[in-house]
Amino acid sequence: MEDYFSDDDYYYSDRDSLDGLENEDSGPQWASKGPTSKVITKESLLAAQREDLRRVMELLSIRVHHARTLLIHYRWDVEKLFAVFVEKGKASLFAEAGVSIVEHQDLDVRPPQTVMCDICIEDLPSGETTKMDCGHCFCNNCWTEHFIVKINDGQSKRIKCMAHKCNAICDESVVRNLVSKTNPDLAEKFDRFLLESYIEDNKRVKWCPSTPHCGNAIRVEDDQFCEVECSCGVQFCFGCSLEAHSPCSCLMWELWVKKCRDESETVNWITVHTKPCPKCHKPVEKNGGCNLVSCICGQAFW
Amino acid sequence: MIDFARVQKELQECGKDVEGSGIRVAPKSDATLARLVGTIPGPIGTPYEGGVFQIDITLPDGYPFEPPKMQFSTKVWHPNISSQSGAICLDILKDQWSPALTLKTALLSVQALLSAPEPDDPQDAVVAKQYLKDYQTFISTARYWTETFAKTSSRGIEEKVQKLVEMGFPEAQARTTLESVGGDENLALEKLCSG
Ligand SMILES: [Zn+2]
Ligand SMILES: [Zn+2]
Ligand SMILES: [Zn+2]
Ligand SMILES: [Zn+2]
Ligand SMILES: [Zn+2]
Ligand SMILES: [Zn+2]
Repeated sequence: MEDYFSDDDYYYSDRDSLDGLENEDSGPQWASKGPTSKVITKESLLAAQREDLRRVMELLSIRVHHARTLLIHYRWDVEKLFAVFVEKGKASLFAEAGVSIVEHQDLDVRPPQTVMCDICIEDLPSGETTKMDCGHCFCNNCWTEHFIVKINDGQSKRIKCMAHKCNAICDESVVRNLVSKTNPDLAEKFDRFLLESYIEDNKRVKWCPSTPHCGNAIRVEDDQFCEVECSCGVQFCFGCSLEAHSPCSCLMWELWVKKCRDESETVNWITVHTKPCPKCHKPVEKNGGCNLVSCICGQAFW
Repeated sequence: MIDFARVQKELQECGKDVEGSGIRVAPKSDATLARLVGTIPGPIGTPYEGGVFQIDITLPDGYPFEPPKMQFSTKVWHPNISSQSGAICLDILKDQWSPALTLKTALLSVQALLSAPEPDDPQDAVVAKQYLKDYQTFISTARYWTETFAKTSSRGIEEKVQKLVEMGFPEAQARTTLESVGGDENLALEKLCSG
């Protein structure tokens, strides 16, 4: 997936624009292709993502990183998210996704001069520490190390707080700020992961399967999988990302393609060594003899 | 880039409470803090009672931001521990690790695992099957393994001390070193030589 973005020039590195969503007026610039699908170009990716973020921010009066955490959890399905909100209420909507918006009343007017960081076990001036939304406070060096490990591990979208059993997702602006001080390249990678999440975690959006990649993604407007055409000319099945194959079903087509390529060994290896993640359906490699595996999407399963 | 300052503090902290917890952590040799040996007493009321279990600990470069690698070096019969390799299936040693946990808290969790096996998520399928289908046999096998592999009789220790003294090490030093590595002669010798 790194290949899609080997050229960085399209990418909006303007950090302020990510935070200042309220001032952004231009919606996604769709290049319309038929009534049920739309092409999202590299240039309109950020705008399309912003649009969904803004809807959630406005409805729930929350900040951007909370909206993003919710949307990633609900796979960028705004309607589903709103339905859960109406049905179960704000508290359980937030809790499920690892969003904690707690008012921390600091009873002591003056914050303490030094804070003991439980990770490096050092006393530090409180100015060198950061308290996350959940209330857990650790030193900036430790937060930075934690973020670097998680970003390199492919977990940018769901970086959890360092406290044991704390389910809160870290504030993306804190991650961006701290990481960019020591590793500006990694901070950009982090932003790119967040941006790509709009496509990779979105059940209605898929990358165009063209090689070399045209840079576009396709969004469908309903849950019905259909054959779509990208502005680069490639036609593909939205259900399986393979070439258009109607009226043959996706499963039959997949089996046919596998049979044709005679990749039986590869297929065998995948069934023996991986399990599909129940949440995002990517194959996840089993490690060792134990059956507990965890997917980069955050789901652990047996 | 292991945070050795923190590891040092952890070792000190753990050393203060050996009487209370029975949990020990010591470097395998004086050369590095990246390889350690943990020792946990078998929980009372389990087939592991009376045994002393050694766990090999390897700290990854990213410690404490990445979990320590732990593996039993004492053979143990348990559904979530490989009877062959000593590999442990425990969530906090994988994706549930948090940098706020320590070697001691991780070892306490391993000890808790000895008390409460989870046969539905087996590391060792043979043991798990026995646990579910023939619990009595499981208990006696686990007890037998504890007797055979996890108990060093006091007489055994004296013999080992004597052997090390004959090799030219002072008796007190030989004894404390042996104790610090849970009675493993080879480890003690390695430590004494490197020290
Ligand atoms: Zn710290
Ligand atoms: Zn927290
Ligand atoms: Zn295309
Ligand atoms: Zn298809
Ligand atoms: Zn997944
Ligand atoms: Zn497991």
